[in-house]
Amino acid sequence: MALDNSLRLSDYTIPIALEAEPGKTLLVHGYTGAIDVVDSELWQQLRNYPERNDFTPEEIDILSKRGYLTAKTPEEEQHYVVRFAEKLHESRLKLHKNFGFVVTYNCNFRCPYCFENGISKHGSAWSKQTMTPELVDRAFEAMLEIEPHKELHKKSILLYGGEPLLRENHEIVRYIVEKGVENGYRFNVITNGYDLDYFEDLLSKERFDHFQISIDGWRDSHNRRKWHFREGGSFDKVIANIGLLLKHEIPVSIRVNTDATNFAESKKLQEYFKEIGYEGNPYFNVYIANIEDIKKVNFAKSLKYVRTNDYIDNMRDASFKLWNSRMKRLYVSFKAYFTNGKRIFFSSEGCSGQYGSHIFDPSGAIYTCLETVGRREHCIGYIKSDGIEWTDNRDKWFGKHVGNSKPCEKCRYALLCGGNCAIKEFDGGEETQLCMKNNSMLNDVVNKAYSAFNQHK
Amino acid sequence: MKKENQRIISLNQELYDGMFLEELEQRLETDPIMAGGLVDLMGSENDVICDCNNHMCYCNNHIEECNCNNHFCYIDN
Repeated sequence: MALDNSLRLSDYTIPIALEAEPGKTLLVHGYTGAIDVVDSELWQQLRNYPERNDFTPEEIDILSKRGYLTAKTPEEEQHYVVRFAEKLHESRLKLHKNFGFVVTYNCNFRCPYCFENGISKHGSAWSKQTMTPELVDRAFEAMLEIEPHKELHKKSILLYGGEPLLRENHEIVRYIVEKGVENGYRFNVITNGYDLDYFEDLLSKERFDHFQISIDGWRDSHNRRKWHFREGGSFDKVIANIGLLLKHEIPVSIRVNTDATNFAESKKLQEYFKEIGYEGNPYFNVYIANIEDIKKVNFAKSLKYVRTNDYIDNMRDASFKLWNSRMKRLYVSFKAYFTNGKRIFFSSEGCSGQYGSHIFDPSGAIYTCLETVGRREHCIGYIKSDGIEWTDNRDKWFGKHVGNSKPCEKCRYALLCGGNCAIKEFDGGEETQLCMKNNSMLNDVVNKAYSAFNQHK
Repeated sequence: MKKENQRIISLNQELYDGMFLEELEQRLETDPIMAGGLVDLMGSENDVICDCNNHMCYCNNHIEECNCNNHFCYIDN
């Protein structure tokens, strides 16, 4: 029996029993990034180390180098992860910047759960403010003030709203897109897709990288929630406009917004996409989202909200095979790690709202999180005639990372997960964003990725 | 994939060890886009997860179309 009392099992060891290989356990280490497949018997001995084990000196050496056996105390490990998270975050802050435009806060739909519903209290005149060419010009100047190294700008600018593609805003959208293309950018759009046909003259893959369009279940459910304020049900027109994007070979992701009442309709929707030839098109992608109950902002009585853990279970048991975006990202990432054997991706943040996102609105305000646009208490700065005036919120948003987040303290998944969605934490939400430590998401996804890897190796 | 041991099969070799952290701390002091700066270090990190090959990219928390062509990927909205 090999015994080294100076070593113990690292608190950041993540075991995942492999369904494809009974008797094997996949280990992931939460700060070295090691990924190993071990005999489950070895894992049981490792769990109890330094108690009874038959480890060879070579195995102890490997397990130490990979991080699973450590000489650090629990406190030392925790401090190390905090230091690591801080440095990862500093590097993110120095690197990538991404930008977006709220073309207008106005919208032609009245979705009951919209997280922008709260800002309608500002009045319709405020909501109808729209970007002007002068403000667009100043926003492009501001982008270089924010990050003079243009190489560090994300090359796709986001168009957002309200609804960014309202037919009456065609000219300002054209102005933004042409100005962006002149300056070497392309565009992503989050739109409801209803007026997309009014923008066909602008649609080209040279201008647009990607569209995201939401569908709320099958026709009746969708039409109840996404009712055009003048023209009524929107399902068929939106579906037709998705085809317009595919005709121009512009990638489009369909986000299927679900609650308890329409989750099962995803199957019918998927079959319909096959029937009309969208499914299988290389530019077409569908994923499922759980409408979250952010009580302070978007609670709607007409919805039956599903708790995150139940949603994960529903996704696992569903007869249709669609992904949640976070799960899909994890799946693709782990399959890539298994295939190319390179370094795992760690992140100190839930999203770029915590380090590099800058969204300009029609009043000249700058926000960093899509879910906070129009809420002045989260505004991080203003575009002024003589430059940008930052608010204290900028430090609050860009200062948050897993190294200083209370819920992530001591969490072995922290750097894999990136932590809670900042706005949900700032708004006092109880549930974390698909928090890995509370559900089977990582286990489910890694097993799927490992099975796929095994089939192709 | 390198076989380390009959009972332990390591699926990756590049780790975030103490040396990586020290290197990261050093490079944080330099201009990020200078040769040997942060982009070199963290960019290669991003290469790992992107297998989109110019199609749908699931890098860093978001699903988007990506131009990275398996190189430095900026998709992280």
